[in-house]
Amino acid sequence: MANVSFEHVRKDFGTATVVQDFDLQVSDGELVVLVGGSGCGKSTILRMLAGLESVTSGTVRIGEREVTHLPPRERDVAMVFQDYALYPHLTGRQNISLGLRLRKVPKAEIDRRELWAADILELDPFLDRKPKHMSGGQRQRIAMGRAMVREPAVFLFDEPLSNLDAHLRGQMRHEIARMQRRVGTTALYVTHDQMEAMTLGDRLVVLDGGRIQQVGRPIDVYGAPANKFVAGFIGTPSMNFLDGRLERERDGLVFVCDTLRIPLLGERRPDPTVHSGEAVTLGIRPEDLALAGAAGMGTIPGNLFLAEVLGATTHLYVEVGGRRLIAAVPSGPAPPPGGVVSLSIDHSRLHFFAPDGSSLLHDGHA
Amino acid sequence: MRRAAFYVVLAVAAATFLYPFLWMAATTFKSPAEVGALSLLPDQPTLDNYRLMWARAPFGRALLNSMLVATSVTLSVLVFGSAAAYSLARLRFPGRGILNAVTVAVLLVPAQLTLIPMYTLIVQLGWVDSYAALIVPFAFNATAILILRQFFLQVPRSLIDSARLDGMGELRILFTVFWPLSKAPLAMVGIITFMGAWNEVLWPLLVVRDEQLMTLPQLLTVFSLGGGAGPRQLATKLAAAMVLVVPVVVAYTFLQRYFIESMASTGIKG
Amino acid sequence: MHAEARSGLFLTAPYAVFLLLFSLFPIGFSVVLVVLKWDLVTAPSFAGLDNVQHLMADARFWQALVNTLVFLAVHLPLQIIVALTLAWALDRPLLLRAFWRAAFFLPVVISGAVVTILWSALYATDVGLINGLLARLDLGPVPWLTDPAIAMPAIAIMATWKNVGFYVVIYLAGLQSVPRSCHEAIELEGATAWQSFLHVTLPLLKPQTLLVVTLSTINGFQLFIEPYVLTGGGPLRRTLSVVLYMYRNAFSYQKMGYAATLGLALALIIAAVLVVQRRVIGSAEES
Repeated sequence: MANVSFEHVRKDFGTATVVQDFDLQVSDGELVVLVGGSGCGKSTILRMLAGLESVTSGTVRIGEREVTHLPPRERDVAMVFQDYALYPHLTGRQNISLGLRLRKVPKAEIDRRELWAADILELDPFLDRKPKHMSGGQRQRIAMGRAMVREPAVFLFDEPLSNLDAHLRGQMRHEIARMQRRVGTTALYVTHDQMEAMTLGDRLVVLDGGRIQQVGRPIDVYGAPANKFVAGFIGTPSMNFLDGRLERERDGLVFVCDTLRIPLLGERRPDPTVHSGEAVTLGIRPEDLALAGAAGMGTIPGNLFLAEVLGATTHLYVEVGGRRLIAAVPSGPAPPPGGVVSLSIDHSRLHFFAPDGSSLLHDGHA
Repeated sequence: MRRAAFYVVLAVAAATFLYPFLWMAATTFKSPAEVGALSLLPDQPTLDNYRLMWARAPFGRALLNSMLVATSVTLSVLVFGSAAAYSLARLRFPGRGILNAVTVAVLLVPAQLTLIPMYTLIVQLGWVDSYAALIVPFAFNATAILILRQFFLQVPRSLIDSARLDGMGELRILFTVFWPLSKAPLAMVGIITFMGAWNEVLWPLLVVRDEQLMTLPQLLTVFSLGGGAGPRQLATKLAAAMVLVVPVVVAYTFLQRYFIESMASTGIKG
Repeated sequence: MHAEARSGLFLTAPYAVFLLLFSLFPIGFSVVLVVLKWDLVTAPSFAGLDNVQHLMADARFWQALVNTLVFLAVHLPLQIIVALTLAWALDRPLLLRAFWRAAFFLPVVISGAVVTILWSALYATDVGLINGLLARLDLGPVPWLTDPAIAMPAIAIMATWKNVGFYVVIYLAGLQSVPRSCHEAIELEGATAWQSFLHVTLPLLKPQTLLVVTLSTINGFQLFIEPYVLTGGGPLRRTLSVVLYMYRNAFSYQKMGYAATLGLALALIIAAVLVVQRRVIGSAEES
């Protein structure tokens, strides 16, 4: 058990910088998810912590120990890989115990840990098969078992679920969360899937271009994204963005985008330093748009051109003044495609971004 | 009917390749009077040809020499060659690019170019009439390294990562993770290397003069150049050739699929 | 990573030393030897371009080159035709298919020394198997290895017999990669099997043919054990090969400089011939 810290960590590959100025403190027992698109540096960070990739500059610590230049085997970390990385010529049991045997752990202790992992992960039915005779989910469990029995200071997960089908992915997600909580080991989890990121982590680290964009509890990141990248990256479907400017009118601020005028009625409004006439981007999550019964004050008129019924929710694609907005509404009788609809906005949940992308909220969320 | 005729033609074609070997085997058991005959069954089977061959030249010793040389070369190419191939494929170190480029370039150089300089080198090293002269110049093989490197490149990186986290060093990763995964290319390299070393004639003819150190094909060549061309001598030479052929044919019978695929896919002939 | 770089250097160091000593040094030294006169016993002396001048005027060297061309003139067409025919015969559902393939391939795995000795028996004028067969057909004994006009073609036939199984496997793989739809398409055009072979199969086998020509050519220039054992280069030096001549210069006459000059010349000639062949076969493709 240990906390993990990165201080000013930087990684260059040749002339390309893939991670820069990375600072992160992970407390003992915490599960932190690193999320971002491909090439954002998330896997590189994990591999630097494991010792599989050298650190160009900065410091990495596990517990009180600086590990920046230690080889992998001296770091006391275990990793679960995207392709499981099981040794194809060994059975599940041999795969699980190999690391312990190499470390000369006594036989009785290996057996004890094997039983323990088999019990938590329900491995028994396929423990003596070779990987090629296991299903994807079974391989994944063996890979997790192999990490568990090491009883490492830190667990590392490198997109462990991305090779599984959707159904299994949901199941294994719970499995990983349950295992990590039960074992109580500090864990770092890398994914590009924001669903995993939202549901698994105690905290999220959103990365882009090798830099941290935001760190926080999933709900806080979702509710108050620090910038336009985070706002667009977290949440499905993505947040709607409208580029426009603010104007001050008699009864308050109005967001103006071409012919569209949205009066800002709720308590969420941009930072008071933003002056009338300045360019801002308004962000509205799809679920904060709803079908209004009739056109009226504060509603947005538009043309519905597609309705995707997903089940409980329906995604409405609405054209508003040449822009497409997506609204996520409860399924129910909806107007036919091609018809005119009015959308109402939850004014208490608007987001504002400066032209450089940074959040302009001033109500303390940001 | 057409089908039957096709098989007859095919059988004649196959006989063209097989019959000479059968005839050779049969002839070694024939008395001089029968050597010229086409039949495969000797009227009076005799082991005289083998006795004569065995008495005239140290073929037992040559068999041991050939086994020692071919085995050493093969083991070296597999063990040291795969270590080099593993590094060239999967480790980052200064000079890797140059080493990879030289490995490819060396393959393009015809053997005739380096034969004489190599010979002078062996003479200068004082290795004439030594096993070193037969083994060391073949201890590595650029073709083998490229075949293994190509295969090693396809092993997922996560397996290496995982093995490193499990606490393995690079040699251990090579032998306990990569080798079990690479049985096919290792067998392929093993077969072509062994066959190459087993059948090589020109090089031993240059660097070995001591009969006690000669390999089988070399001793066979030297032996058959001496002696006359009469029926008795012919049968004796063929008996000597049998010592070289029988182990190969036995191995080939059981492993012919691997022999054919290995040789055909690497473009190297025996 | 420091550890990784250290491991990499450690694991490749023996190979790097090997390359330097047994590949790069001999390549470099081959050029140096050209200007040396050296018997390996006394100290080498500088010989300027003596070796090159000698080579230019050396009738034996030119004879050896002509002999190689004679060999190739028989060997290449024979090799291609026989290999293609046998591969074509095997490219169908067959009883014992693995057996036929293995039978054709057997001489490939047998040492050249053995094949040569075996064929010395087959070619023997009085007791040889081939003349024995011919006698049954009332055909007179052919002096295979003693007639200057026949000896080299006889060696070419033997080399074809030894190697053809290898090329059968190569052509067979090529044939099996020709899509069935190609044959079906031309059959629908009303082509006969022969036309289909000529217009579809053969052009599609160009890469295999190039490989066969390349490897057989290299093989032809490497001819050594065959003339060494069968004929000693005779009769009338009509089977003397460049490698055999090179071997004698090094081993029997102790002329290292001249032997290396022969090696260098041979390497350059091989390279030139391969380039020309590649051009010819490549341009045939475009036309």
